[in-house]
Amino acid sequence: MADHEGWQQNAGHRGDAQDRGLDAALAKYAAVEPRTGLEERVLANLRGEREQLGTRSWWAWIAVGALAAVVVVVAAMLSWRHANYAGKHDSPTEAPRVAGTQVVRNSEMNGTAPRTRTLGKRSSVHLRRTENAAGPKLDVFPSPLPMSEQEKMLASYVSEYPKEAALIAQLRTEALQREIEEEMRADETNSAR
Amino acid sequence: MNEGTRLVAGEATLTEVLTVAHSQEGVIEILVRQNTRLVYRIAYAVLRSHHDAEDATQETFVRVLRYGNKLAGVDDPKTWLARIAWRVAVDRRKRQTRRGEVPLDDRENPVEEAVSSEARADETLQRNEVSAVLESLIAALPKKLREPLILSTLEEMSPYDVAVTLGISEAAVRSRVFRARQILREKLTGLTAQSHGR
Repeated sequence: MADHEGWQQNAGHRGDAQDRGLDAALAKYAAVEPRTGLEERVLANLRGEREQLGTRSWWAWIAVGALAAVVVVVAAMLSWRHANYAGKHDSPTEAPRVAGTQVVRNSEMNGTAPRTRTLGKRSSVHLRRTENAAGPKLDVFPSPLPMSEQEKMLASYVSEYPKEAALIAQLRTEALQREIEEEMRADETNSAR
Repeated sequence: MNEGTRLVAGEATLTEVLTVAHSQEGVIEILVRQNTRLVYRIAYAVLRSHHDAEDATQETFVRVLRYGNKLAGVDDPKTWLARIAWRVAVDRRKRQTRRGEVPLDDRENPVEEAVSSEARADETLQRNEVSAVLESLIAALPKKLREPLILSTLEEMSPYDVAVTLGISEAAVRSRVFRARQILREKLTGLTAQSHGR
């Protein structure tokens, strides 16, 4: 029993000694002093830094001002371009459409209600792109083809001599009517035989 | 400018310092005069190089300068500065590790220089050996245990300060330091037994 207590005491002393040794070693590990004059060096550096910060802030304000001016100019240009584009391409007859919605009409054949398919984001983007590429929608369907040379000449003649053109058109119409009547009469006589 | 002003670090809020200093410049000067040593020691504890620790100290105060008018909102300047210093030092350490730089083991430690000339040469040698071994043992500790241990070795840092600096609870600091010390003691005992056995 006494031996055991003695061992415990020894172990305790040994433990204490180890702790003290460790404390001393750790204290030495941390016991470091800065070189003399560090405070002054820090303060001098801060003074320099403060001056730099002052100069930098001026530059920053100048840069911010220039950037703001650029942004304003770009925004003005964009809005001006947008207004021009809208003025050129606005079509009052165009019916309003819901983007991304397409009515499938082939359901009329089997008598079911028309199916509405909502297109995905990608399809609507694609649709928008093709619409933009095709240009504004026209009033007449099918779209009229550009005039041929003869039509252009005729149009210019009509605009220059409208009375003569009207007279020619009237005579031409009468001749056509006469031809039709003769053809009809010939048909009747053939059927009577 | 404010050399006559004496405020105990950690006891005064920056608002109080501001009332004494009258200007931001004055506040920073007071902070520098009160806390340079602490900031330096924190940086040194991480970087283990006088040169790097001094650079980290400068960087810490430059960061403080950039806080500008927000300085007045700081409640506990000591732990606030300790946290900045810790982050600066740890960032530097990471950068060094990434670049593969090894800090020079500078032997210009004033404490080592101040070892008494009366001390016997073998004692000095033994002490230096122990500190070198301890340094390597601490470096080998897991980060979770190493960080609270090295901060708690600084006399200025209470467990509360360490907890605030590391962003963990005070209880966690105590238990981690205890565990770290236990590991160090076991390893040192093992090494001592080996050297005595030879």
